[in-house]
Amino acid sequence: MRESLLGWQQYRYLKWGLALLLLSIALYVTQGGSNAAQPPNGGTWQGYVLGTLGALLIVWLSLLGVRKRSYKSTAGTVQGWASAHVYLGTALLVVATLHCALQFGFNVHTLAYVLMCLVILSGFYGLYAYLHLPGHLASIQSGGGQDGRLDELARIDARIRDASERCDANLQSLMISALELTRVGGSAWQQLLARDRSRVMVPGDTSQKAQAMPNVEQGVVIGHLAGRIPDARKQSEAEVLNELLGLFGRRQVLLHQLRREVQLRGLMKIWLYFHIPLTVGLLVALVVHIVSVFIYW
Amino acid sequence: MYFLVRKLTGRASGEALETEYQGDRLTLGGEPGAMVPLPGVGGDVTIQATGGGAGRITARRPVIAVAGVASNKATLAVGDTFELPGYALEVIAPPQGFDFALQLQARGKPASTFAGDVSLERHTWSVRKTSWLLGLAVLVLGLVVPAAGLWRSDVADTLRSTPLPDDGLWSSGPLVSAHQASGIAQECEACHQKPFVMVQDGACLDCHSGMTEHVDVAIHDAHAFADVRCASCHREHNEPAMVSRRDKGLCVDCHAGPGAWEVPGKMPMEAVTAFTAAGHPTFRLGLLEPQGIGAAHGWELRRVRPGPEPLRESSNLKFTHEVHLDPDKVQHEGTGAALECASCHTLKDDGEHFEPISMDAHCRSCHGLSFDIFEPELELPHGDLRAAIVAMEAHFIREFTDPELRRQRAAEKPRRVPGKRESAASCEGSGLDCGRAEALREAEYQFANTGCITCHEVLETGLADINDRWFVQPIRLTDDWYPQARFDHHSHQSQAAGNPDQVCETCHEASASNAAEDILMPNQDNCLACHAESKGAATLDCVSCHAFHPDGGTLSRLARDSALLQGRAP
Repeated sequence: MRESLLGWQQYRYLKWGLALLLLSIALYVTQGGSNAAQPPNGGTWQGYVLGTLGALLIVWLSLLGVRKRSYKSTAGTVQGWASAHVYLGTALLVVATLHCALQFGFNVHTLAYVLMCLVILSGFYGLYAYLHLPGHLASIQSGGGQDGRLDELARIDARIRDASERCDANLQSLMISALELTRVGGSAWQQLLARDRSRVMVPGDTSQKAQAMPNVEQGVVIGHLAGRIPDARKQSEAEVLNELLGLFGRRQVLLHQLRREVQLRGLMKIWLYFHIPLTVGLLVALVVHIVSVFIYW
Repeated sequence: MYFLVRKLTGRASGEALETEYQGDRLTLGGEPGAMVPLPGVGGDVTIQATGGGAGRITARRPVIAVAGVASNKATLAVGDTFELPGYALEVIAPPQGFDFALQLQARGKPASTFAGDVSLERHTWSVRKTSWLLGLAVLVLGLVVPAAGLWRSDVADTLRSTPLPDDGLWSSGPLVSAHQASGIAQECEACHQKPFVMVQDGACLDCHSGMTEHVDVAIHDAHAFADVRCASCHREHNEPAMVSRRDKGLCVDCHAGPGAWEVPGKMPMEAVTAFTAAGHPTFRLGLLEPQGIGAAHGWELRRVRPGPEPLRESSNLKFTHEVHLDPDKVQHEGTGAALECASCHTLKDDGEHFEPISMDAHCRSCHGLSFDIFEPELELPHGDLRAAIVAMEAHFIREFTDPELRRQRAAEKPRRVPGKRESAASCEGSGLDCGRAEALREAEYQFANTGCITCHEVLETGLADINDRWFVQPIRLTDDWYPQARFDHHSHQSQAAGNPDQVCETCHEASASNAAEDILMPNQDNCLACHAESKGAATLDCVSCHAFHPDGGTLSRLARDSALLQGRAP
């Protein structure tokens, strides 16, 4: 992934980006000074060139979203586009900064700049996510993936329910509550944090009611089952407890992997929820910027 | 009521787990409180027994599929089959003691309780919707609402006086401080009068009505500068804010090749490319030249470029700076101290020019015009030859006509004053004759020996009449040697020197000048030494010395509003 995205065609677009960078800097430094009609800004001819470059870049970078959906297109490979997207998008940060000559204010022009920076920063995160997270994901995805894990989990849960029918009422309610109070994922924030919020109803003494306790990594249930095995009075009871212990052990592993997988998938996707709307906002802000400049020419 | 749920485990043929439930209804689903936990089934599925093994099933969402048709309610009779997501169910005949019985089997892949919670889609905002919202918000707040004020000034005022977005959001930079005034600072339309049209000169001239054209429209075609807008040089909304362009191109773009601007009969302009010895023509001195004998036709200013021979001033004054600055020869009348530059030269408020030198203010304290040693406090009027002669005649006739005055004069013995004529103490003859004769003698002395002739060029006409016998050439001192340039003496007084006069002498070598005709103005090299283009921070731009809008030029308001500039070529 790293090789193909960043190093595509012997770093072709890194070279393009650097060339663009040098061109922009060269344009910028020819502005200003005692022999210039005005200080460096977007209003000099160099400023106009940098602005036009920046606007074209923004439009072209946004078109990646179109290109990657046009499967029939022959306008370069999506991989090449993505590589160019990364390098030219990074160069855009410099192009636009030199266009505005670091002059900011409470106005639509700075709004466009801020939106652009947010888009690029979210893009940087996206690049990080695409380069590093799939490796982590692959390392836990040895089995059948998320669907397989969910299926297996459902099967294990069904077996736990069945097996628990053969236990005493206290243990059965403990098992069932552990199943029912298991939490994976949840809200977007909870998916990304991947904190185990599972709980279990632990039966109290005769006088007390059952109490909900955190059941991180199914630890309480497993501990409870393990503690019960030596006290088993009958062979069949010990067998059931053993079976349940094994099932919960597997459940623990599956849940842990599932949470991590959900977290990684979320981290790989979440930036797009910012990157894309901000890009649309930026495109509109770009239009507003250009139109407003010429309304009050 | 009693419910029986028979769950096929699927492990062995027919192996089933039976569970009994008691309640007025049976609840099924993935919800935590459901009596029959069915992970993955939502919608609060509820079954009520209606008697005879029949029942009624309801749900908040259409999750109940009967013969493949989804619904949120159904009537159930013994033998009916239906589906919930992931489960196949059948109503079976309730055993003895039960009101309703159900057999269920998980179908296909068993769904997990948290299957819906492991992907972001259901828990984040819609990318599409958010994109639309953000785009619309930017468009409306950044463009549409502020633009509403473009056509209605009352709308614009409302927007500006409320927290609503107004056209101030379109400003690309600060205004110069002078424009941060009420009526301009917030009111974009004060200058930007038409949308999508560059700021027109009329907007500037509405306030700056005294502005003058750079060229004389009587000499140059008024069209010549029509396409140069005020805003071509005066660029607003820059950071740092600046009133005007100050770059070399402001002037040099045209003046590097002024040939196109030459007008027959007028002195051609020299090319200027930079403020260097090679790039800038030598300064032309403004010389005042008397027109006609005795400047009868006034004085004409002629701007002359110095040649190998030094130029001379022809002011008709007799004066030497060398003598007046020599402490052994001239001292301050009151203090006895040596004269210094500031004794006579007082800088005007403009910092460039000096107050005029006058006889009364600067000369008379030493060069008094007393004319009778018997009455040394009596002085001649200055500046009016006729009045001076009348004053002398009147004085001496009175002296010799009034017997009492005549007697006193004869008895008196006045102190001899060097440089003054010894007036007659007594006279034989009539008062009128004696007075006139004495007045003539004094006039001869004043005009030909010492007195007027000390400082003035006096012309002896040879006529007999005392009133016509002498003519004093009028004096006109140049007050502006470089009329096309401006200069600030204040900023130059900061030069390091022992005393203020030494600062003056660095440019004006007065103490070495022994003739009034000497022109003590420094030349271009003197300025170039510090301010040439290569001198870094001290480099001066064109408009540091030259004004673009000349005083007394054609009013831009008239030139630019004229029909000529409205598009019709001459």
